[in-house]
Amino acid sequence: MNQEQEFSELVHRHKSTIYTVCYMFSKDNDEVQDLFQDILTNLWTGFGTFRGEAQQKSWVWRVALNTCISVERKKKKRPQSAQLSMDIDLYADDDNDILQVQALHKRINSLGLVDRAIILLWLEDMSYEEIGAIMGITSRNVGVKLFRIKERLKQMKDK
Amino acid sequence: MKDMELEEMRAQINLLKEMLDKQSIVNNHLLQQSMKAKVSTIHRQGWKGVACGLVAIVAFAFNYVLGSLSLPFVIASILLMLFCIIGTWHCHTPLNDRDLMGQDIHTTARAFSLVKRRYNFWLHYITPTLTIPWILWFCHDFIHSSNIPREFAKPTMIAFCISACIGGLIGYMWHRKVVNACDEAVRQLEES
Repeated sequence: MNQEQEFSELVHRHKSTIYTVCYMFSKDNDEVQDLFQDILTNLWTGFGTFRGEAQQKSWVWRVALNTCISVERKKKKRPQSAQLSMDIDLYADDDNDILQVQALHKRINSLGLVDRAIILLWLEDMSYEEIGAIMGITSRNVGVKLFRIKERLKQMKDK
Repeated sequence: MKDMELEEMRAQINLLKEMLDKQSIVNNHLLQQSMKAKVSTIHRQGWKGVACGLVAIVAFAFNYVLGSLSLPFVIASILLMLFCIIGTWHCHTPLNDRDLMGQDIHTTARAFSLVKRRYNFWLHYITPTLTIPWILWFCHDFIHSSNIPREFAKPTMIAFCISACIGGLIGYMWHRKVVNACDEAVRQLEES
């Protein structure tokens, strides 16, 4: 199988993961698509380095999260301009599934960028070591951050 | 954080991933993008029609000042243009709802169908009813106008006929564009 086919399979396998990350970092439809494309570009650029199945999921998560975090940081540095086009709210729906996803989005969206990344990884049932490897921090630091994130989410729920 | 809340969040994230796996969120986005584009196309044709109506009003007024056409005819023509402009606005009102894309598929499809029905009603009934008498009145006014030299009468009439044919053809093409956009939108909504 050549590199392109392998890459297509990788994207197909982890597409929902990548989109999950994108949706947790942006609610704007166009931005989500842009983020998705940026992540694919970064995955393709680094594809030659990671071929082993064991590391693949962690690697995809790392690239996706780092891409979203860096785009978000660049956005904050740029002066915000008004959008020309009317943004259609995907979540303008009474469907219970959509409302649940919306609730998740609201909770996670209120967190900082790094905290958002950590809680997403933790919800994916990743170990502290794996989370630390992806985020580039120690597993002990992961534990401390997770504790603080949970406290913040708990306060959010209590309000 | 309580275990129940944690489990709730885990369930929500699994739900999101499931929906993304089934492409339901992404397809919804693509569908809405497509509908936005269709609405934009339809409104653009409407604006073209309105622009032509406004230019025609100015042209009629100008012709009256030159003395080529009679006052009653010019007034009637201007009123006709205003009626057409209001009619165009009326045809487009189903798509003016800012929440249109937030409605269910059937409501959105009905809006496009209504625009198509109104456009067809104008083409098949209102346009012939208004245009034929107007053309006859124009010819009558033109023939009896004392300000147009006789040697220019025939070329002017030929020019008018050619312009009317070209204008009619362009108008029909705009009409077809709107109707096709509506049909395409309804087809996409029904397939989704």
